[in-house]
Amino acid sequence: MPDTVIELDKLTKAYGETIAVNELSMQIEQGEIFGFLGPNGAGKTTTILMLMGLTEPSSGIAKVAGYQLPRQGIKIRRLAGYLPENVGFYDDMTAYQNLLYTARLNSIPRGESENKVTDVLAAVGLKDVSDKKVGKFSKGMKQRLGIADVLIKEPSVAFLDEPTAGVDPEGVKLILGLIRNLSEEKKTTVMLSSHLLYQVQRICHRVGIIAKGRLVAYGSIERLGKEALKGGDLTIEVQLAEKSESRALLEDLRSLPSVKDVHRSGSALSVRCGEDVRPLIAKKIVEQGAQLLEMKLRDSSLEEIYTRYFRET
Amino acid sequence: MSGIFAIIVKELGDHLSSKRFTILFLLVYLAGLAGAYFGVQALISDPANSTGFSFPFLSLMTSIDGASPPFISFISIFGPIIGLALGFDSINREIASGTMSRLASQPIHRDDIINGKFLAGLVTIALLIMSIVLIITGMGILGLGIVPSLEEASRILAFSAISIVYISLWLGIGILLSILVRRTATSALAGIALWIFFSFIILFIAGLVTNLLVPMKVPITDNDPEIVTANDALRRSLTRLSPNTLFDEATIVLMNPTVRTLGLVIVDRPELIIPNPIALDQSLTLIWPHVTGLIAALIITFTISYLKFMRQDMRPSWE
Repeated sequence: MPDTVIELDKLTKAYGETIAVNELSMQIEQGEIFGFLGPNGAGKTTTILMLMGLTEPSSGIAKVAGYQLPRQGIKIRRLAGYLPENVGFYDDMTAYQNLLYTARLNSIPRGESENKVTDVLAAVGLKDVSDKKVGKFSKGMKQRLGIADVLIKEPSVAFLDEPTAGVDPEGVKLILGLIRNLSEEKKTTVMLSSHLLYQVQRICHRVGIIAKGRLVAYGSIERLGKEALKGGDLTIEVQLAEKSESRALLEDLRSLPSVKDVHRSGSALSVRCGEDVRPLIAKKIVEQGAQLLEMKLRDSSLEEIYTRYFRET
Repeated sequence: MSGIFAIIVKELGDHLSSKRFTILFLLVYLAGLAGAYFGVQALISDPANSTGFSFPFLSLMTSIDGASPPFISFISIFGPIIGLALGFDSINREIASGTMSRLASQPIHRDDIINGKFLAGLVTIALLIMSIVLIITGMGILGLGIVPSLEEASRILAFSAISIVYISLWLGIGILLSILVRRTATSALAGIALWIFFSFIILFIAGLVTNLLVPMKVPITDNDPEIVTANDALRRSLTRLSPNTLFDEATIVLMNPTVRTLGLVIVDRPELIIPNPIALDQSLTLIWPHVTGLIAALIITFTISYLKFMRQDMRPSWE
């Protein structure tokens, strides 16, 4: 298997006049967890559908594990699992029967499939309800069953569309753990779309941000952070002991080189500046006789990167 | 190959265990058994004057001696409902419940999905028709104390085959509607509308159009015979656009061996017509266009479903 598992080159999908996905180009490596981010209607689901061979691209090239789409769609669907957004199951069948049907469709031999179904149900924590009808399942349970439905294929690529939407915190933890396991132990390549940024930040190696069908940013979270904040200001958060700040201190801080603004709320200060001037700030505070409790540079969190990109587009 | 097999097994299981099938099954059995019961009674009480004297087993399904409508008319009217009931929500329900995108993302060809669903419906229909026909024949053997002749058995078999094709056509129409219409309630209603159109309304329309194009004087005896036959031929051709008419005519010829023509014939010397039954191959020759018409309609319906379905995006849900 080549190291690049998913390869897009100027992939485009147009529905009449509207362009859902516009010349998308990117590569995803084996074993990587790739986060695919963007607001609703940005083209995330359409891209995944094209990669599974469920929708024909208008132009451009898409390859999964060396197989070209949509011509070799059936070969891709043999080794790739897909968890649709709002996954559905046959409500009048039990969880076990639903998964057994998936196993049959994947030509897993009869003897093997029954053990496999039991194993994956245990892995997602649904062993106790395996004989309950899916119609009685909560949204979170269905989502976990959806993960089991992907696991049963033992895929080498997994496309997960909003895998944690509508799931309670306990379930989210379980699902994120399963996804991380897939990548670390089974070397499965995972492409997941989400709008829940802090979760993506926790498990993704790299992310791509898509807006109106175009890829606006693509890379590791640190790199995107640096890029997004390039030329921008840093924010330093300072926490002082209560009532130890003074007007003189504020004036002093404002006079420091490259400091643009100082904000005060209670005993917390936030300093906006062009470069990292933490040593100078600390020195001033001590000189003014104030007590410094904590000082830190605000992270370039995914959320900040994300909002910055969307302010621009 | 194993993909389509898995789909057929699952769909067949769904059909056979559904409440919908239980209801259809009970209705068909009640109609078939009632017809057979009255047919047997009529034959036993007054064999010589009964309409079924020469072909008793055929009469069990065609007899109007009893209080219930004959089984062949029941199938003609109710058959479309059976087909529609098995097909009207086969695709749109899967899309609405979010199972279609999961199904389509498995390593199967997309046409396996509709082929599998159609074949499962076909097997269900065949089971239903063959079982009731065998039971009616069995009641005849028990009630009358004779066995059907080869001629009768062949005609009953041909009737079963045509019934299966006819109901499958409506299954195909149901599946097509479930692809074209998003809501299951709407596709059910559209199916019923088509059923009413092809069963009843087309008869009025055919009469209207015919009288417009080939007007006739009243009373009918004032007309030139050529006008009368032209009028009749046009009306028949128009009603034959309906699969229900094709089925009606085909089954009447098959199950009544004395029927030797469909439509009008002008007879100069009626005494030359001997009211004898005709042989099976002659009956089949007479209805061959009807059978090919039904099969052609089925193929056309299925082809449209296929083209529409293959082009559909397998989105997780309709937006």
